[in-house]
Amino acid sequence: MDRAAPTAVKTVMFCLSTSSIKTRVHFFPTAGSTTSHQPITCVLSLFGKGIEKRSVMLDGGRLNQPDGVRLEEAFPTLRNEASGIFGLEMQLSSQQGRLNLLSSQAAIELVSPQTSIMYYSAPFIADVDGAISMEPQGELSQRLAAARRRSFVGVGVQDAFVTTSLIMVNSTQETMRPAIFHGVGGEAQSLPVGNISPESAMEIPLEESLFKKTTPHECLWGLSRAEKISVGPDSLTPHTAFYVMYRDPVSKRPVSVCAL
Amino acid sequence: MSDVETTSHFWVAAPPLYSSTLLVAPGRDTSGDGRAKTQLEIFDMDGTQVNSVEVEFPCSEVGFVELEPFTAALKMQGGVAHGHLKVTSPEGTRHIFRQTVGSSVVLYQDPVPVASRENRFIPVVIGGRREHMVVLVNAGEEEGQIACRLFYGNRSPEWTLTVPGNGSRVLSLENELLSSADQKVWEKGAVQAYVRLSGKLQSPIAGHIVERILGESPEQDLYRCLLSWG
Repeated sequence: MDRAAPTAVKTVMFCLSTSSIKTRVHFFPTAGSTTSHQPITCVLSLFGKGIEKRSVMLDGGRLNQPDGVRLEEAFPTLRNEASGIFGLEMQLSSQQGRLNLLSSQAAIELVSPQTSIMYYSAPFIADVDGAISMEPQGELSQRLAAARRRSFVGVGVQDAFVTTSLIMVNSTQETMRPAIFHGVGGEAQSLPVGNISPESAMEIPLEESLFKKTTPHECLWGLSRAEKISVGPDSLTPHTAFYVMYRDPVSKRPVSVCAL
Repeated sequence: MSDVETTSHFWVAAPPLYSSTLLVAPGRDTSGDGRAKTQLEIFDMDGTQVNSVEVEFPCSEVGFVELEPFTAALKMQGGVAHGHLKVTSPEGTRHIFRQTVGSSVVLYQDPVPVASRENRFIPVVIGGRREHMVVLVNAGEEEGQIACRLFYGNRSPEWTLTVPGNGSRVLSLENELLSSADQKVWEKGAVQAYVRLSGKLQSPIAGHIVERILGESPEQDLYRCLLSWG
């Protein structure tokens, strides 16, 4: 247990809600080597275009016990009016103030009748009295933070089986203009993605033209092109999250998601 | 290779069911010659190195490495020839793994191995014409042990699994782990479950699950990779 452990941690994710895709949220509160099962409070907040930010507290969470919920059960509005891509924020906290929940994990499952995919959220970060610290604490937290730093880079792919979108989530009450780049090293260029509205999530398909200058690779499955995507350091805040989503180019169904 | 490196550990399996490609997105041009070097080491399931190769790309592009030519020496276990791919590149490099399983494609980043006294979890739905293969890769040189606990309904059986240094193991969740009949109450329908992986020895182990959703014929089966870090 760390001496200066945060009392609450949070992560920012996205979900999809359409007539054919529903979302399940899974979470696993853990605190390194602590093996107890003390109560954990999980607050889930949903925000996005057309809906006012709303939060629910999920009962029954316990340390070291995985749990989950169908998002429609937590937010009935997703059954009726709301459809599209939405932002999600998960906050985990404990009455036991010294418990370090930074190594907790959350997974989002996008479920459709044909198949479903799952992705893991960006690592949890400390959320102490609204003032959020990104300082890693503990060995696993440091490794996760290192993994996150490494993961500020993603890869866009385009071929007969995969197209790529960039997902941007802004959980703040202010408009953001993130700096996104494509390409490698000195040849990296700005990718114009525009503004992200307050408390919203948006998906930006990476256009075919973006891959025109990349070298095509003749692979077993055909011609494939890939482009490095990166987020500018100033755009990385605890209240924002970036994901790369791969879709089937024909059916448009999601294939995989990687956190940046 | 620079002093500071990015190292990733992936599970690699051989055709015909599996086909894997590594995508390498270089970071800065640390060598100064506009080239990025990546070291690939492939170990069989027992941890014996069966291949080692250094590949070089222009720093200005994402490199592709098709892994099929390097998987010929992998041994069969659990019905699949598989092993451990260790990838080492200069700092800031991003490794993405593209795996085709049957007709399904999945892309994922390197999993974070579970070290001693750490926990990772994987949500999984058991029953409902689904089969699951637990995949473990030992990222260390020493023998590793991991506790695998399955939470479903009010049950939570746990198994201790051992993986040789640098080796890999696959286990059928339904046939090898949930082997006794009283543990198969879930067969009546689909049940939400969770796998929790807890490191027991110092050697860090990466784990994920390959899920097979049975179709009307084997050609119609769907696969997906459930990662403990994706």
